Amino acid sequence: MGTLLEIKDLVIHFEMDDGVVHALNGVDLTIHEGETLGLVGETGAGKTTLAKGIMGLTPRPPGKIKSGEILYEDRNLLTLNDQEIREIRGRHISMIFQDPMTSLNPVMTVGDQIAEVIETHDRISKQDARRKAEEMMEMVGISCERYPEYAHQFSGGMKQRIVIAIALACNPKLLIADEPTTALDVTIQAQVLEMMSRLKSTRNTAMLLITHDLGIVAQNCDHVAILYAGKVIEYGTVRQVFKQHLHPYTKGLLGSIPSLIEDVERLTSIEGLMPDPVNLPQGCAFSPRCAHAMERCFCEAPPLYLMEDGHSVRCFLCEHSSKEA
Amino acid sequence: MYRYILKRVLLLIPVLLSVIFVVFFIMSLTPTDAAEVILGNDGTPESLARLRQELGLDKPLLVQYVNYVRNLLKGDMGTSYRSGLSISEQIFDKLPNTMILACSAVLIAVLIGIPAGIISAKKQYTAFDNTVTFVALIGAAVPGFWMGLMGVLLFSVKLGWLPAARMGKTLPLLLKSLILPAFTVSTNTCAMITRQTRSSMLEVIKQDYIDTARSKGVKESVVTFRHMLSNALIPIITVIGLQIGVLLGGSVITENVFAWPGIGKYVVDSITNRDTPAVLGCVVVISVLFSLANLCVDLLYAFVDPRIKSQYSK
Repeated sequence: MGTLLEIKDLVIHFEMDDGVVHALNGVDLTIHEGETLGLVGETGAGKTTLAKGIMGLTPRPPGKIKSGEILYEDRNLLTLNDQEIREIRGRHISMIFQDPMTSLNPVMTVGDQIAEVIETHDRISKQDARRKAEEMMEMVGISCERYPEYAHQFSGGMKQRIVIAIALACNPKLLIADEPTTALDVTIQAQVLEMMSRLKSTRNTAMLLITHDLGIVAQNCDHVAILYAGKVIEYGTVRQVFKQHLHPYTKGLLGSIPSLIEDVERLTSIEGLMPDPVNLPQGCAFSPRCAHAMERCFCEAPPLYLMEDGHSVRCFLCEHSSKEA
Repeated sequence: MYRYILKRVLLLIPVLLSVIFVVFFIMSLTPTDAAEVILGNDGTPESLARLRQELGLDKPLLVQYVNYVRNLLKGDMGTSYRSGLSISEQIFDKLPNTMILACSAVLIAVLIGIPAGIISAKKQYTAFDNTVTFVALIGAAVPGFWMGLMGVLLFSVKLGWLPAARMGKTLPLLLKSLILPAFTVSTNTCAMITRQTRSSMLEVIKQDYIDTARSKGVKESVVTFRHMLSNALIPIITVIGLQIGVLLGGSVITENVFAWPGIGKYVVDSITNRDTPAVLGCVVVISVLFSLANLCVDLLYAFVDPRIKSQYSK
């Protein structure tokens, strides 16, 4: 599997009137062709900032890309001009947004919205684009008779199918799905996820699946990256992260999933809250909440330690067991 | 959809009847005696009484109202107390002049206001945006007659480029004489359209579907017009529609400053002459035009926004 997307030390800040929001503070990630990478984190960890950053949709101002590289097939997306990045968007990398209720244009027919992306990238006639858009609708399980209808005539799950049809219409190599099922109810969630993984495997599309639902990760992903306060704190295969997790935060995250077997009164949770991204603590961002925090955790930020088989962790506890030690 | 249009047109009838009644009632409260206006100082008590009887002014107010409406349906608004001419003819003589002025003013306002609002919103908080906001604020705050007078001072008196007043008879002269009053009238409208466009664009810019559109890789101009502007249009149309309604009623002050022979000047002249039926006729025509402008706006909504259209067809 070749490398499709490589993010190196990406730092994105938002410069607001009342301080600088440190949204991403040096993210390193690699996505291989055809694989599904799960990106897990709490609200405010920087998941959406990362997704929009890859798409070149960081609102500027107030957003500012301080440093880093996003290499897509060895081209740095951050140095492309408007024209070049537009050719990447929709054609090579496309995105599904969180809320299907608001991510479709309310005054344009859904069919035209699918056809628009096809017309933009494929040099084909309007009729052919329409035909292709109709095929896409059928593929996501919506009758093409509904081509001339508007978003308000569809239910939430149907709208998300349309959004998926838009995203996949030009056969992108990478699909970024930003919490694609958060706004849907559970039965629809399952249907949509099942459809997404079916489509991505038939088309060999790689996917960056952003979520805070660990169940979805376990079922759909090959690799997982845990994001905390704008940094990847643990990365590995689903098995490594779920079974051999090393970071105390990952442990807390997995520990907070309610068990079906044990009978407990209260849900376990991680003490404290995510640090305010305007004033991040010195040292490890998790240290104020960490039960294992040592003195150095409060003043020194841990590097990413490489463990066995590509598993990596950003915690001093792993310093001695890492491969480099 | 057609049933909705029909319903809206039918609804105009009670609205207009009520407007006429209110105006009729208010006019009857003014201490103007029509007979005195017509006969002036020559009237004897007998001739005054006879004239009142002829005009039907001795009848109860409600009967006068019914008679007026009945004549109105025949297109007859009575004759002017002063000139003795048919009022409906007078009004329809002057109406095109007002329409020329109103339409060109709105056109100018739209052509300047919408682009200015769009650019302003897309470049929020930049020097351009601040300038536009400031100029629009001044445009909305400055009274029309002052703008008009300043325009006359600069372009007619100082520079001598444009005529100070009156409407040109031939097309080139007409256009030349139109420039100053049209820009004067449009100042206010333009400021309002600019501010409304800016604020409704700003609302749309933050929407998720704009990110969706951008993530498709379409050109920024397509994002701006197809995705942003078409969603921002409803409040802009509302402002334009209301302004057209107001301006068709005659820009009373501007028409007087520029001696523009429109309905606004006619109404002011009629008021000074205590010409009651002429004033009444003007008010009726103005309210009809205003209601029609509003109706058009309501119907336009359906074409702009499919969500509204689907409500109508229920």
